[in-house]
Amino acid sequence: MLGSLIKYEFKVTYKKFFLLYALVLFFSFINRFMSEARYGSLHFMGIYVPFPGNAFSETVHLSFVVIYIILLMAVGILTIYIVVKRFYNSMFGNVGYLMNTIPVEPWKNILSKLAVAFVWLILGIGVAFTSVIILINDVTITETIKGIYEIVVYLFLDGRGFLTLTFIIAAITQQISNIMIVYCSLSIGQLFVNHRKIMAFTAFLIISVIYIFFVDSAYSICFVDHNAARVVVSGARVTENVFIIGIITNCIMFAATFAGTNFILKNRLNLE
Amino acid sequence: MSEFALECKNLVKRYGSKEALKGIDLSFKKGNIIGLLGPNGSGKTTFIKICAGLLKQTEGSIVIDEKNIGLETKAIISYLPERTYFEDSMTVIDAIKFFETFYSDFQCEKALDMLKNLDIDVNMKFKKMSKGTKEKVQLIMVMSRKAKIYFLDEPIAGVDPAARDYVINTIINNYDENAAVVISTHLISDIENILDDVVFIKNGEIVLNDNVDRIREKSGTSIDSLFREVFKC
Repeated sequence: MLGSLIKYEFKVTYKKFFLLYALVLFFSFINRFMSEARYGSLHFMGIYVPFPGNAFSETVHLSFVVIYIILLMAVGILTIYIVVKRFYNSMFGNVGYLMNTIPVEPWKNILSKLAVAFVWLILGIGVAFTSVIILINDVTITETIKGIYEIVVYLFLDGRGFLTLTFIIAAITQQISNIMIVYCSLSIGQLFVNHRKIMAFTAFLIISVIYIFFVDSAYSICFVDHNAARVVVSGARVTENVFIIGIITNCIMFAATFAGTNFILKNRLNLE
Repeated sequence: MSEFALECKNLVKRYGSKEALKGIDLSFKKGNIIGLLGPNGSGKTTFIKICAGLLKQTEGSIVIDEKNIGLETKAIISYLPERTYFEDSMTVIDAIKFFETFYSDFQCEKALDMLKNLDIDVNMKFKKMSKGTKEKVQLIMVMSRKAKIYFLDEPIAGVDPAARDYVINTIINNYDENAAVVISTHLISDIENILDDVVFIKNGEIVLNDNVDRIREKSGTSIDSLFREVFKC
């Protein structure tokens, strides 16, 4: 059932994202070609293509750059929008009358939406990164792959592997935990009869403050020199530990918000 | 095995200080069509939402086919809410596949037959449908299940009078004879003839719960007339 829910969630959301991703990549290619033409290095099938250099071509180039930047921002905004709107509409809006009456445990509903939101988040970052690579004039595809390979090798060799790994896991758990905070806030908001969205936003602020306080306390306990036994001397060790503490606090926050959302969907559902 | 599809005792639902259901006791026999009748805000939808698992009662107990409300009851309840609940981006065939995936009692052929009878294109998206067509599709989906109990919340309110007969025929021709059908509405004259029992609900309390023939015999009037009398403003 979880697999079917994930499939359904992708089916409902993929068109908007794919269209946006295609536009971002298309405009980054266009901008690259225009920049190459401008700096006299654009060749098409071996033939040199000049840049007209008139006011019209300058305006077109500038417009494409602006469109590209807007699209790049849209990837970020749309991802956040989908995370919030999809969960709210499909669990507490009209679609909630369908999703909450199918014989599926609430946690599967939550997990399916979380998984799909996370995939779009990662893909969005990937597309943004790829589009920037495309945009950079001097870099060929081979050079890019070689560069990425060198970075990966650098990050994972000479004893930096564990540090890199903890950083990646900390970043991933941070994103997942952030999405769950949004879901939990929306669930709390629907407990109220009136002003549900305002209450959800208030819940989000409160949970975020608790989260910051919690993380801050965890770091204080672990790193402040309360007693000699807790002092961490090496800089590298401190960094690794920073990420480890981050992973632990993210996981605790995720577990708490997931359990809270699940409890509300299971026992305190209050559809309008 | 119980003869009742649903039994509830002292069912109370409070929204803050407001009491939407004030300790109601009800039981619906299997095989019967029950009219849950009452004016707006009387507690009909709240009752149905509790049965469907969309709300939790404040007090009291409720069992459907001898099971407490939960995953097991969701699998045997076919619920038609008063609003349209399919994603706008979905097509009818997507909705059929969705029901087929999540409800083991869904009869795909039956749904396709009914859609064909109504000339509804299965490749049409919900966003391109009129409200009435969306409601008809939803009713077809709900009635294509072989459920133990059907809850139909205002099934004819959104359709034009000409299509109401089709909706009513769809209901009576498609429910399982061992299942109960609960129809909530205030358009009584349209459905009066298909009801076995009626429940009048007013301000969260049951004011009448009896067999339709017995009521007509006792009062000497139609259910519609009696409703107008009981709920006169």
